[in-house]
Amino acid sequence: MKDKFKGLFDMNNLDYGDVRYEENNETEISIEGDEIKNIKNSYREGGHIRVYNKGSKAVGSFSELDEAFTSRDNLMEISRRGSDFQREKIKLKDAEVIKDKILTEAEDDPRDYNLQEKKDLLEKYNELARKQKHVVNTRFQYREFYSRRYFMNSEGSEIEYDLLGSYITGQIFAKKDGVVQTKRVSFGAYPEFSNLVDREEDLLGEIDILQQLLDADPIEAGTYPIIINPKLAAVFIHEAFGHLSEADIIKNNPAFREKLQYGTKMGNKILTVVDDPGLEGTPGYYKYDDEGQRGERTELIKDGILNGRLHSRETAASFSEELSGNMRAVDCQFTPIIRMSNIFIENGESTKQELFDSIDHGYYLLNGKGGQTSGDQFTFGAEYGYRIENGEKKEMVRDINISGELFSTLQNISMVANDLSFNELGGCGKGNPMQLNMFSGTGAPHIKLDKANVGGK
Amino acid sequence: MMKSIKKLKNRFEQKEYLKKRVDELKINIENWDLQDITQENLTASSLRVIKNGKLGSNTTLGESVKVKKSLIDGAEESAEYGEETDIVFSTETIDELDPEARDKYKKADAEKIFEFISEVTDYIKSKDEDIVLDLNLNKKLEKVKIDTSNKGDLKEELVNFHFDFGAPIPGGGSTLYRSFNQEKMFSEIPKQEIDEFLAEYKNTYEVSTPKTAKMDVLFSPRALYFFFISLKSGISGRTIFQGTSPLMDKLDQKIFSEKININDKPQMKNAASRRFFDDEGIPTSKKEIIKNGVLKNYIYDLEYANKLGEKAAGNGLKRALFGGGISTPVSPNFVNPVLEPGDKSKKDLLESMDEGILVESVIGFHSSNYEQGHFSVQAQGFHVKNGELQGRLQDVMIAGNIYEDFSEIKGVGDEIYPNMKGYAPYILVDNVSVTGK
Repeated sequence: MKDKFKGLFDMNNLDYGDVRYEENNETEISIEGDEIKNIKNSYREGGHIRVYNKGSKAVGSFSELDEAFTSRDNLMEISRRGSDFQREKIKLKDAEVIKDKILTEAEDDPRDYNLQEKKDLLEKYNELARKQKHVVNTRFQYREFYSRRYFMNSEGSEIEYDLLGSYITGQIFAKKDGVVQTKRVSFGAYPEFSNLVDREEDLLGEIDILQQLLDADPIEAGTYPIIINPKLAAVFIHEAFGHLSEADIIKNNPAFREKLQYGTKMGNKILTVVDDPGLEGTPGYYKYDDEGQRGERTELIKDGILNGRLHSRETAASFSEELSGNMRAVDCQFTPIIRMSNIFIENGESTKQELFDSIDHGYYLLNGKGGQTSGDQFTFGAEYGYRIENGEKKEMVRDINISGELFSTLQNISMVANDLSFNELGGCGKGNPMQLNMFSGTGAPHIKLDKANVGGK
Repeated sequence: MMKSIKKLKNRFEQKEYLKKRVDELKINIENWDLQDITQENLTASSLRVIKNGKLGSNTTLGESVKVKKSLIDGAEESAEYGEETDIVFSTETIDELDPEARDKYKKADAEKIFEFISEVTDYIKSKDEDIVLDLNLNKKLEKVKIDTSNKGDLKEELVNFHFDFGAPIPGGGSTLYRSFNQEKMFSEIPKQEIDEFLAEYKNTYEVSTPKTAKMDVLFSPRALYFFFISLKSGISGRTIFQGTSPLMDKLDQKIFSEKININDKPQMKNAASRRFFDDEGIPTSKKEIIKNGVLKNYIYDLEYANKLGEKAAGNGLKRALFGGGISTPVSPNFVNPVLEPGDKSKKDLLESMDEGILVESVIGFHSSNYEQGHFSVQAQGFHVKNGELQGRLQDVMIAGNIYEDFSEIKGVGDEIYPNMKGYAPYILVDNVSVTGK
């Protein structure tokens, strides 16, 4: 690959340039009801080039290798035009020149299984779900993505690396007396395929919840103390805080830059939040990002105080902060943007029971059901919940969305339990166009919020 | 690639080859400063085949020998495991290669684009230099070709220019914005829209949160994308066939207020999602979806039209909830839904509100059971009292179901504007559940 791009950045007037070329294999199988809707092994290739010229940047994606040089020329021309418009000239944080090759080694590699075996596994789960009472429809999906990447830049870095992950997700629909409810199920394999097999008990457990949801009442809208389980707390910290720790989100927003200075008190002393790409076996594990930087552990909030941020070379220079290695692109069609690797809330010292004991009237909310953030405003759904009365878990509730403003909500975290766990499946959407990243992990213990704005009926 | 695909006639009973070439340039300004210049030059392909009566498909990016071989072999492997099918790939012929499209794209060079951006930013600066201005200008040229073994031969080349400007709500929060689409490069500054936006934006500096109650909600066109997503799910041949649609057996029944009329207008000029044929090579056409509140049509792709004994009419698209693309399987989708304008100006609608909220954007709709029409979302926008904007909303949620809340509405605005999924006017709905103070 090195030869293909020889001379790509040998030119005058170039401040910096890099190129990432990818060969990607993807397996997708989807089943709806009793039908296979999609089953394929696909291959795609293409590259992405970035040039910095006179303090201005232009980036481009191409699908033909021989378009790399034309693309570079176009980008140089556009960035030259753009530089007159660039108020703050872009600088990059100095970085180490790295030459390395590192490839994933799995004990139970999903690529060693053929399409038939993967289809059989998915069908087994689908058939089991379809047999259950009240189930009217199912959607199951298997997805496996292997991305072989080659990165080089004008400073001399050359890195070959890869990403490998697979997962099974299901959405199960049940209907009773005209009420339709759905429940999601997900098993992740980053990268060990064995994590996806023999999960029948887990699946049946999720369907049991779904059947109970059919008889549950919608939650009463209002403001309550809540306990959220690790799966939901992980989504919460990702959505509500994680995105605002991505420097590109706040770089050009003066209000946020002011609010999010290091040393700012974000929450109580019990709250520590970390981003760590070094956790093997998790969705967000990687050694190098797509800007040729090492992925680093970053303590974003330490003992309640804002302590770190996720950066590109560009934002690290702009903020005069340390590099973190969080620039990632989901595919060759996209430019890298700052993404969380594995974000999680560190263990606290309380037990789950102590969290319950502290609530007279509130709710216990479980499992993320998607979320969205816009600036410091966030909304995310919970799959189900239970009313809490005098520390005891009561009847189930459904149709739960929680919304709020980040800064006040973080201050409302009053208890953190000591039962940290990570979600099996990664996932995050960001950017325009949207990049859906399966290599972004989340984790948390049970946490208590003294008050939360809950939307329902 | 096309030649080698044509050689496949003996390998499969039917084949359908789709090729999309996208050339795109996007300029992004944040807080008055140039942030990103992004270019795309991508060729992507999809191949669907029928072998031994079974459907197979594969997709790819690029055009190398390896890519070509993998596309064909992968489609054949896919057909081994695919479902049996009776569908017949397109037999249509359409040539909508507009020679002017490429010219329009090329002539709008970097110099012209930056010149226009400068004019707009200078105008806004002259009116309000304190706002944090964000601006995007994109140009996109998309060439689509479909070739089938049934002599289907379709091609179109469409150009579109998109421009939006906005500013984040002070103190953080969503970006309020206005957007525009057209088929030629922008030349005139939308002064009226800018002036109106800036006047409205001044109301963001104070927070004004209503008390929790049922009240009037004025949905802006930009917020109503969630309405299109829920409705699409309800009228999709897929959910009808699967029995999960809340609109099963509701054809020719009133499901919304009689003030609501919705058409799918695939060939509407200037629409960013304009198409002459869908991703299965079926010609698109205007389709009545809701007439005076009555549900008139479901939408189908080839598969679900076949399963339900209906005729596909150009709604088979590779679109997903968020984006979509060549690797997204075809499913029934709106091409360009338009919630038709009514007879009330935005001013009339606002002035008719004693107390309520103007919702400019909603956050988190996809965490609700939106396929059933349910919404429980954070509302961003303004508190309204006696027809006047009072200040921005903070920590406000709205919840309900489009099939209940939109069954009686107070008014429909007289102009339509683009949102993420189609075009809509302002819509005033009463008695919506709002959680505030």
